[in-house]
Amino acid sequence: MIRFILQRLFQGLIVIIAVISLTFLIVRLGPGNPFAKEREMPEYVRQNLEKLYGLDQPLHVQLGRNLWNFATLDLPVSYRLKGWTVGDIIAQGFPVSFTVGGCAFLIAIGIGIPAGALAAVRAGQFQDRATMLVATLGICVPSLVLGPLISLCFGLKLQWFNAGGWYDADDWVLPSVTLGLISAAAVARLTRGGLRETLAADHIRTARAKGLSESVIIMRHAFRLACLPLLNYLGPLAAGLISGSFVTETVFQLPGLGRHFISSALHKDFTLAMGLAAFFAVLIVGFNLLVDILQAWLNPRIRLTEK
Amino acid sequence: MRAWITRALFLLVFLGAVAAFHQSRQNRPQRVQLADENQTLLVGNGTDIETLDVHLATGQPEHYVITSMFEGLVAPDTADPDKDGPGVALSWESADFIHWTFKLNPKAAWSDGTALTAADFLYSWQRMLSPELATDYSQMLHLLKGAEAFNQGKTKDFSTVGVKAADPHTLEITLEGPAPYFPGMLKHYAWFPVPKQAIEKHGTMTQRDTAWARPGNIVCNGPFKLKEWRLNHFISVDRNPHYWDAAQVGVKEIHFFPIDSYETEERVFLDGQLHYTFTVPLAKIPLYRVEKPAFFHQSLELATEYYRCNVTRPPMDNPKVRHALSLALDRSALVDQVIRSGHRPATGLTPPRVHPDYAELKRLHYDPEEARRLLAEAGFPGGRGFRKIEILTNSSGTARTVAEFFQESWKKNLGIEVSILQQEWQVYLDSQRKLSYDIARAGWVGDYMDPYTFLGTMRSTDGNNNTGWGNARYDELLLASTREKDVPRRLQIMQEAEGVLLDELPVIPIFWRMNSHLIRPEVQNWLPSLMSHRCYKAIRLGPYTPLKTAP
Repeated sequence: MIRFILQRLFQGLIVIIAVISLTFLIVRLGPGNPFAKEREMPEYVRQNLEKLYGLDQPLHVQLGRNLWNFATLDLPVSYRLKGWTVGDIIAQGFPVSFTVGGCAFLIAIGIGIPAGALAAVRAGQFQDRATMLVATLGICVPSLVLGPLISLCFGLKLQWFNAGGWYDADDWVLPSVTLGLISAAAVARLTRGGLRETLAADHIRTARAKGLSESVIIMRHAFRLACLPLLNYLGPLAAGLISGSFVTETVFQLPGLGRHFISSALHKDFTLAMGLAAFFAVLIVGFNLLVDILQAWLNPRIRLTEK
Repeated sequence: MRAWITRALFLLVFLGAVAAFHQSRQNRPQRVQLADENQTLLVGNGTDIETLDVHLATGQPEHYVITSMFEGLVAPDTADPDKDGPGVALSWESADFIHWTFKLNPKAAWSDGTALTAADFLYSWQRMLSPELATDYSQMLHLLKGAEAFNQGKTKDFSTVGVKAADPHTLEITLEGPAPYFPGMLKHYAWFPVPKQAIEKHGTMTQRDTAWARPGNIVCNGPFKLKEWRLNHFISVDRNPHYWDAAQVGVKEIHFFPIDSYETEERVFLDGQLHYTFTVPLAKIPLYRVEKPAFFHQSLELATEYYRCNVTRPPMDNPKVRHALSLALDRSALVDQVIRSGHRPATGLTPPRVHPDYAELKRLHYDPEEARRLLAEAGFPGGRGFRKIEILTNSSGTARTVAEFFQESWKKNLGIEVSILQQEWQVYLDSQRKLSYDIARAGWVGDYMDPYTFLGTMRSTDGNNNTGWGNARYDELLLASTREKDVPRRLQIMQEAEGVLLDELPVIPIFWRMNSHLIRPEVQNWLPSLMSHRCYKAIRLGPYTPLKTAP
């Protein structure tokens, strides 16, 4: 087990380094200049700036310096948000994204798993069709549409919550629901698929033949196995949700990380773009590792150490 | 039967709970209501600001926050923000518009209580002009004698720059040439003082990216001081007790909210979370203009939207072609029927009211007949032989709509094919600088109330020209305008220069921008300004008043 975890951590480290390097190269080699403004700056000012930030050095030197900065946690200053380091920015944005994303995750599994299970147990009946219709709709409606609708309906019209903003716990509700509902749809479909397959398996038939009650069969025998495909999805989903969503943050005016993701790329803010990509990579690697461990625990047929 | 009764009861309880919840939530006080009681002004501020370091800042959102916290020698007048009122300087005078004497207010102080003297301005302008700091707006200070040479690193001796402290409260300034508009220019934050004590506590004078301008460290001299700054969330400022005119300051706090999405901003305004919006969604402006709710406000901005022609590329190298392109555009139709946001069709480059005595030239109009004639004269009768050209534009706001209107107009009126290329902001700027475009959308916002702020950009040596165009006569006239002391004569010279520009038409002016805002009824004394100047200390908040019309 320990060896497996160490192996995975090592692989994760390589992934993170690759992500930082690729982000740097893509943003750096793409067209545009981080210092470009609508007003032209004189050539000597541009040269001074490039010298100051080391952008006049060869590409590999720049990349090496950046990697070293991240490795030693000497986080660089954002090009655009002058005076703020990448660490400061993540430290301010992440708690917001984590709160909204965490709530959304709970909503997604809280609604998605029971709905999917209901559909699987009542396969082909009204409950199944209705749930899957709603789930398909949920997958199709983007947050760009659902967010403003929820904000208009529960914010402006019914006045239950603020239409946007981030002041107190009330403001967690609408964005979490928006994000959570969309993910719940995917979770429901995966749960239904997994459970349907497991319910048709031999050991379930044996359990039924033994005369076990349906609820015991589902809860104890079927669900554990049915979770496996779902778990693979939940790891990246959790990482994605807690690292912020650009659309939801823009619609509800939240100070999370998602907006930084987009603006750093658009403004050619290399350091922030690299930092955020690295942070996201760490989350993904972490959650995937967690999923692997959980899967081994749920399914005795997976033996980590033999891999 | 019993099951049904249980279900019905459950439903009843559920509906009751929803109704109770609805009741309790609907009667919550609105955020503005609480803010009105606390005398806090809630302001939408566009995108998040990049920095509060006065010398490194560049954008309009920065301008709005910085001018609440810092003040220059001259400040927006309380009765008309475009006029010049006393700031750190109580009075100023000049006999020839070259040599200026500013008398500083002895009560002027920093927010930490230290006195603000003439030496602070010397320090600040030296920092702004230091080549090591590499500031975007250092060019604004090139009006000072010797500033350009110092800024380019040709001399290290700041005493060669035309600014002296005669005594702690007298600043003597020498300019390169006569500039009657100089006091107005000082309202731009590029000229504001910065606190030596704070800057040198967190780094050296010319070091970028230090933490001096962050919460807890920053020291300022305006009516308000920084209270809190959360990235992408809000910036709050509260009253600065050391401000020389603190008795005049109306509201207790101002909260600036960075709201990128105009639709979100409108929604939170209608939800009672803002007193003032940065702008109004373009699609909603026509509706508001028809319905005329009392909270919808529009005012002219000192800004021109135009299209650049890359004159190094045929066929745009031919002035007849450029005139044909301009004459084939029905600007009134674009403004009134397509964008419908109240902009004014441009008849020249310089917007109206830039100077009370500068008359509009009214050269540009719509005449498709004449356009076709000119195009034929240029060798492309009916558009035959005219290569397909490309309009370069960015991806925000109405840029695409305007480009499509042009595409259609030029096809219909001239028979020429045009394609549209949209690029991301930084890439779009880069393409223009490298002259890799045929025709590009552009805009210019004036920095001071003088035609020169627009005309100067088209000098052959100016970095903002970006068209490849240069005209000796034009450059000569503009240079002459910087040496002319007689104000009417100076304006005449500039008008002549604008005439040369409109004869050659390297840029095709399209419209003069209007600003649109939603403002709550309780906000008093927030006056419109061509230059987007705000006199924060004059603003007052009346008692809470619910919004009249719901859209």
